[in-house]
Amino acid sequence: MHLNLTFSVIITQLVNGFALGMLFTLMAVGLTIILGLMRVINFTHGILYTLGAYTVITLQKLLGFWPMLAIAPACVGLVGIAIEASMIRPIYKRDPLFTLLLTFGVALVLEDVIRLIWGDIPYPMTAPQILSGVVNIGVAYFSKYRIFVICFTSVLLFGVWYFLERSQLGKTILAGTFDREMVVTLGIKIDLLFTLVFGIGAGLAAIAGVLASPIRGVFPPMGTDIIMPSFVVVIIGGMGSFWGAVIGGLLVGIVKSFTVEIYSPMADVIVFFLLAIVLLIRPRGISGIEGLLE
Amino acid sequence: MSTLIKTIRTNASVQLAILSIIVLLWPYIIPLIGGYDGLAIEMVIFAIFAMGFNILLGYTGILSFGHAAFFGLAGYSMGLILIHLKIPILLGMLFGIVLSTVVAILIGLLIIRKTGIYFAMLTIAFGQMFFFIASRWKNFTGGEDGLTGIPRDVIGIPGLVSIPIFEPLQFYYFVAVVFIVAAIVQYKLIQSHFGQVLKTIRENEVRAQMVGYNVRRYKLLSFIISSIYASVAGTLYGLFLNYMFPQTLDWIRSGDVVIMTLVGGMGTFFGPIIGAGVIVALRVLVSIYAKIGGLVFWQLFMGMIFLIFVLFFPKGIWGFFQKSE
Amino acid sequence: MERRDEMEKKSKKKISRRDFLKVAGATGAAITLEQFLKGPYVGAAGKPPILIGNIEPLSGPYADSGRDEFQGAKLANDEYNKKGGILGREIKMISEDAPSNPGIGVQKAKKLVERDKVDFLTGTLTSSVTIAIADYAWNQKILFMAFGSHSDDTTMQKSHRTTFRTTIQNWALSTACATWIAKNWNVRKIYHITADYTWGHTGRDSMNRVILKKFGGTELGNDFTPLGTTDFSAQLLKARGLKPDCLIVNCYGGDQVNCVKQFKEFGLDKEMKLAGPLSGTPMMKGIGTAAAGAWGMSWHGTIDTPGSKKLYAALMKTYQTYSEWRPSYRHYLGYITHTQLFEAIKRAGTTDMVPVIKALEGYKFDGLKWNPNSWRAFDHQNIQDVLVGLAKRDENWKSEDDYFTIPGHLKGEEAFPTYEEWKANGGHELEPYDALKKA
Repeated sequence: MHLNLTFSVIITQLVNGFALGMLFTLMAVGLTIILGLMRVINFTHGILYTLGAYTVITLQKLLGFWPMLAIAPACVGLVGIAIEASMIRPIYKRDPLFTLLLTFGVALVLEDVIRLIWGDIPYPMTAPQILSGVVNIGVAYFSKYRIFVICFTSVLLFGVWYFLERSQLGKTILAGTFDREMVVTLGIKIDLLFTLVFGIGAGLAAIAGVLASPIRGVFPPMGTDIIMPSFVVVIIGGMGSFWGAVIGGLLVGIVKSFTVEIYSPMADVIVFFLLAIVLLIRPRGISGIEGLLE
Repeated sequence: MSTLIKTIRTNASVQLAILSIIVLLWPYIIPLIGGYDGLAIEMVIFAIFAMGFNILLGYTGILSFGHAAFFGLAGYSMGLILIHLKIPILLGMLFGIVLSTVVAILIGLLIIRKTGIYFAMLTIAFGQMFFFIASRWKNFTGGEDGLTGIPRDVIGIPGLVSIPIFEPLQFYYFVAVVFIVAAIVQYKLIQSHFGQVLKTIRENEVRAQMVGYNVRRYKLLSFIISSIYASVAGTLYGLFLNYMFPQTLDWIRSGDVVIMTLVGGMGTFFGPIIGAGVIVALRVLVSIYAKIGGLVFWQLFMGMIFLIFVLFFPKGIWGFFQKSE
Repeated sequence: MERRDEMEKKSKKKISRRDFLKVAGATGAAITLEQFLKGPYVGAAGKPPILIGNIEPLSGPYADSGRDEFQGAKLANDEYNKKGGILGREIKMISEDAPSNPGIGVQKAKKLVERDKVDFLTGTLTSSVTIAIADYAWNQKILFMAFGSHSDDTTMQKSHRTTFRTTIQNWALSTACATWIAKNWNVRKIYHITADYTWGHTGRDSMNRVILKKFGGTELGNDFTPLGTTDFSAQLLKARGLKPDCLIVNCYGGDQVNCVKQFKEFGLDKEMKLAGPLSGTPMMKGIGTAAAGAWGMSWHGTIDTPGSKKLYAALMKTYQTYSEWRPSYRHYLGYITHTQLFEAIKRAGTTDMVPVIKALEGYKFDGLKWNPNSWRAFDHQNIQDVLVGLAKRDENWKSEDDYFTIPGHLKGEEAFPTYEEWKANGGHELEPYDALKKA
């Protein structure tokens, strides 16, 4: 156990935790609106994240890194839409159990498809030159790339928030998470809305994958590390809540980083302890949206 | 002839008797289709697991994605106590089962209030917690390397009776007896008032509550009973391999039993048993034949088979044949 | 009207039942026929073939390494079969996939032993699978040639009379690496990042044994990281603060890839050296331009001995799939192990386990490196030269051979533990020969 936490170590881990938390948030926001609106537990989220990373390494040579931040989510968003429209949509009417099982099956298959196309060996992925190296503020060093992740994601999340809270479409989506029937009676084509939301979720997952790849490398099961903590973030934050996902994501990211510092064998388990505590104190999660899925 | 078929189809005792006979003869039937004792044992162990899981999923309509935790927990605790204390195997099994069930009760009490997807996600979370504990607590569980050296020599009561179970065939018959007992117990449960209430809950939970049943208690009982089955299967698995490893606990393994139940036929008695046999066999077959370029892609094939069932045959194998009659 | 419905219903029922039986019968017949065709094998001149069960990860993160091991083994099989097999019998290999899940590994081993009735088991990669199968092989009294796992306990704490291990154990890898960096980089102050399982721990212990005890150095600190860690920033930044001469990475696979990449990301490559017990092409592929460090290795394509060149040429001819492809040390391990198994069978004149074991124990042979290899009798470990590889990735990179240069190697006798060291560190005496009779 390392309880020797100097100021330098604390700031460093805060920054790392923030960056990690941002990735969790990107995943969790997508998961939570899909869950809230469509009542679907999307196991394919991890694979969509992975596909984002693979899209980058495939197209990076042609197009460079920066365009990929837009292209990767677009491509994977399309994949997500294709999955939703072809496989998930037909079984909405059935027991929600089946959509869960379906996304689970699709995730299994797609992981092997990725292996078939790209192989098992991890691909190297380096961030562009401007972003590599460290920022030295005297008392601590920060990886330039992680600072970039924090900044970029913050801007992106602001955009998502703006979309959800201010645009007509976004407001409809939010309304749908609270009361699906009402949205239907208002005459809105719920099917298209679902598809759009799934696509957005897929795009967010893809961006998380793109951003994570220089740090964590690109290999077929890379999604399994992130999907479980992301689900936990969704529960902790409160299902269907945007801010819950944000706060939950940052919380989990920071807690995890500090646990790695203090006692790393616990780093994976700590997320579940956090879950248990939240469940006992505030069962509906941080945002505590009432009536959702209870 | 048709009266015979009719009797078979309606009389439960006859069905159970036929099942028992097939199970007892299975080690002799299975080599004809390319199987071997080890495969047979594995099929029956997972049939026990799936059968119990079906009580929760098929009959009560609750999905848990973390039941592998009880499977693994029982296996590990039995393994640990058998390795460190020289107690009879049956006692060790009992220890494992009891410990795992106590944990199931605690978790159940904590999460049974939640329903549907929320509940499923919580079971995943708890399952994963145990998985990480098993794989990180190296000094205790052997960590990633697993727990080696689980003994399997004889079962019985010291001084009175001693039945060897070291050889695969001997062990198979021990497992088969456990299975038959478990099947009979399950059948009685399903047919009893308890089973009827479970089915009512599955159909419409609110209505069941209104009729006056303490729905929460029934759901909890269903959860606990299914975890007992998982624990029994887990101890048998530990004895089978003489070894226990963390991957028995993770959510993919929990997913396996969901697949078995679905493919076999949810909510039917024989479905999960068949499902277990089919999936275990498929795993082996797929791993041999699903080779492309020298590498194995079993997830691709298993996943596709699973998807086909989810999309087109949701009633599973047993359900499919039931329908056509 | 009703009767007609009844009759239709009856006939429908009959048809579907009949159909079911038809399908079931056909399937059963097909499968049984397949079994007949697979049948009991008949080799040259009616002698049954020698069956080898090879278990490798062919799916999952180590699939490429597993395939390399299989290919190396297969090359050996084919070479011997061309010369008429062994003792007039054809060599047949049945390959099974066991990704890092040890339960599946044991399941596959059971299939190979109980159903396919193989004469020998070979292969595996991850230590957990290796140990589980070694235990199983001991229980079943069948010979297991482990050639993929580097973990010390396969020939120490968990050794068995039925296990032989070709791979260089972690102790020796670390010793070679530590000796080289102490001599060539003057490394005295070290910081460890250690994967928290037996392999990682033993790597660090051995590194310390050399650098601290033999060269009088100091360990500035150590961090245990759980297997599967992706973020090493905490540990790396701590290391920077302590200013070691060299960072020791006792990690493998994905952990190593991430650690080394982040080492470069945080600019530590400008402040200290990097080293570790073991690396290889798969890791360097993932690390890419961040490649760095001195690592232990068992074999490399650029080794300049006639035997090695011959193997290299054969592997290139048989398995090259793309222009940058080069053989890896996994090919070497598979090839050497199977070759040695066959030679031992020849010497023993039989495939019976006890004579073959005795034929292996103590045997010296040309391991295609500079000094001969040998099968040590007290632990069944293959004693051999241990290479040190320097990782690099620069503009001159043309093929997978260019991931490493080999600046030096250590003789087996100097790298591997002595009997006293082996005993003191948990060496489990091999079971006596009479225990080899099946219970």
